[in-house]
Amino acid sequence: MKGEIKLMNLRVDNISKKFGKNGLKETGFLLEQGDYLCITGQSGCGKTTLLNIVSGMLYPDTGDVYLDDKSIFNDMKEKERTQLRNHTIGYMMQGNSLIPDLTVWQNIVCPIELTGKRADKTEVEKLLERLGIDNVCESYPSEISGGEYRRVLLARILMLDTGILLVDEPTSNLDEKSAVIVREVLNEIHVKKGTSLIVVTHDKDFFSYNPKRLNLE
Amino acid sequence: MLTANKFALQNIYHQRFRSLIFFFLVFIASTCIFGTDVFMENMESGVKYAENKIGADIIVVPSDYSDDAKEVLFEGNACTILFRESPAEELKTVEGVKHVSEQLYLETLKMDCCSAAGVQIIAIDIHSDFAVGEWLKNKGIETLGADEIIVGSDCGLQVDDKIGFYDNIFRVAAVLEETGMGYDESAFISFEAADKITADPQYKDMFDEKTGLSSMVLIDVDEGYEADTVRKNIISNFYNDGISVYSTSKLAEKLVSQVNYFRYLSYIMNAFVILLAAVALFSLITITFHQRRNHVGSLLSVGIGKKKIIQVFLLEYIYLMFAGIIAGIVLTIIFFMPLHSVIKQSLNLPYKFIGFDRVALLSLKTIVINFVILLLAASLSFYRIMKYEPAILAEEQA
Repeated sequence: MKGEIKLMNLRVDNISKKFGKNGLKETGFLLEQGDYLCITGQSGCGKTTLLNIVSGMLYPDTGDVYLDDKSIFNDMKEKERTQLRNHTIGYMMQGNSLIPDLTVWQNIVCPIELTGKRADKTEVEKLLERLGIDNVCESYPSEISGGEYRRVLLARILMLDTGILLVDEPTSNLDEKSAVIVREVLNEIHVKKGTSLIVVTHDKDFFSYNPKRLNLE
Repeated sequence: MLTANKFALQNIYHQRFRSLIFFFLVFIASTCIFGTDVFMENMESGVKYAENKIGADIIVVPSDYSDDAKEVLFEGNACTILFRESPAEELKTVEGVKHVSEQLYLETLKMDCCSAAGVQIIAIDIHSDFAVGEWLKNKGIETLGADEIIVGSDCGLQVDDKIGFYDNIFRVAAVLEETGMGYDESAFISFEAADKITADPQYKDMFDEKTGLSSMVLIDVDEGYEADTVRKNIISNFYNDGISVYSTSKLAEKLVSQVNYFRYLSYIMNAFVILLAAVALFSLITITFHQRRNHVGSLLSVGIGKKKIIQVFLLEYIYLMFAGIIAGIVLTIIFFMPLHSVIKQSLNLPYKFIGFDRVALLSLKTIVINFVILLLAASLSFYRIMKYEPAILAEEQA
């Protein structure tokens, strides 16, 4: 979490995506620099789909996503959208997306070091300590608990220092103590760095930070 | 620092079983491809060498021994061949005959030397022999004393070793390099030494105490004459005189046709192995790529580009493939080198080691074949995966 981050406005313009009977109904919002948005809604309403589209990982059936008025689907090639997730829109997915053959430490530094940069060891150590997972850094993903797994996913994305952060269910499977740490860490980067946040969550405790709220139907 | 290289090596280490299977497949494929190549080229090299080293255009042997003559030349089966009367002087008068030289073939009576089947002793006149003698002279062997012997590469003897044939002790004056033919299990003596043996009363039953015996007449044809025309001239001049006349190119043709049989067999086997290896490697790569779809999705979700991802995966396969190929090649060499003489003797065909430079080229060919298979399989698998959107890949459960 160092250096200057690139802050941008994000406009989601009437996007929708169908998966059989379920899916994301037409949705739009504007996320200005430094906004904090919590997205809620019942299972199957398309919360994860929305994040997938906003991150450029999934094409919408309708609508578009604009980053400072530049369409990420029409004005950017796939390669640019991939690079976007490394330096502008960090995305912590909900699923088991750690690489099982790498240690926790390697998983965290992987997005930085595989793109040719060197991760700051002290920064990683601080972050791991802050998230309470410094004791598992040499373990493999299969050797850690579900709660630790979620925090490693968060650490991996926080290390990228992006201006916009999309986080899918960051406190699910976490005990209360760990959930508090995660909420505080996300709020810290929002307040101190001005990072724009979109958090998909069922955790009502996020509302104590007075975020904007979007309830999907 | 986590590089693509370290990532690949860690994948190999962490997925040991998968890595081992991949290594083993490449190892088997490489052993088969490289092994059949070396075997075939050794045979082809033997035939080529035999063609050159017979050195004569026409060979004349007693008709009773014509099969023996072929065996002794190409297969190293020892035997005694004798003309009732040498036709050498008369052959010199045939039109188109340029040079004539004689050789005497004697089989050892006892197993005094290296081969259980007996050693072939060949008496030559090193000065006039334009076939073997010329070849020996080219190797710097100018003279051969009555108590000296030159041995073939497979006799297991060293220079200055002593060896007894027909109750005569000979000193090994030189050891020939490998020829891939019967000469490798033969020993060369002078006619002077041969006369001493054949005149010995204790071998009266065999040689009738005669000297100047001859087994084979080698003929070099004049320029402007076809070997086959001269052969026909000889046959018409010596009709019914108990001789068989062969042009060496015809003898070699028979060998080539025999080798061709093995060659086609090896082509089929090679094609089958390459196909099998390609299918196996292709399946394994496709399956492992499919299993790792969510890893691809995960890496894409944090902004790692496709090029870097394929680099990591390819490096992993390249390391395993390289290890498998090297192991296959080394094992084939370890297997072939000590068994070279055994293979040669059991083949009954000329068989000569092709040399390490050729082995290096065949190794390169094996590497190229394996890598082409890998690149094709990896490209197609990666292309199939990349058709999916990153979110779909990332949601896949391994």
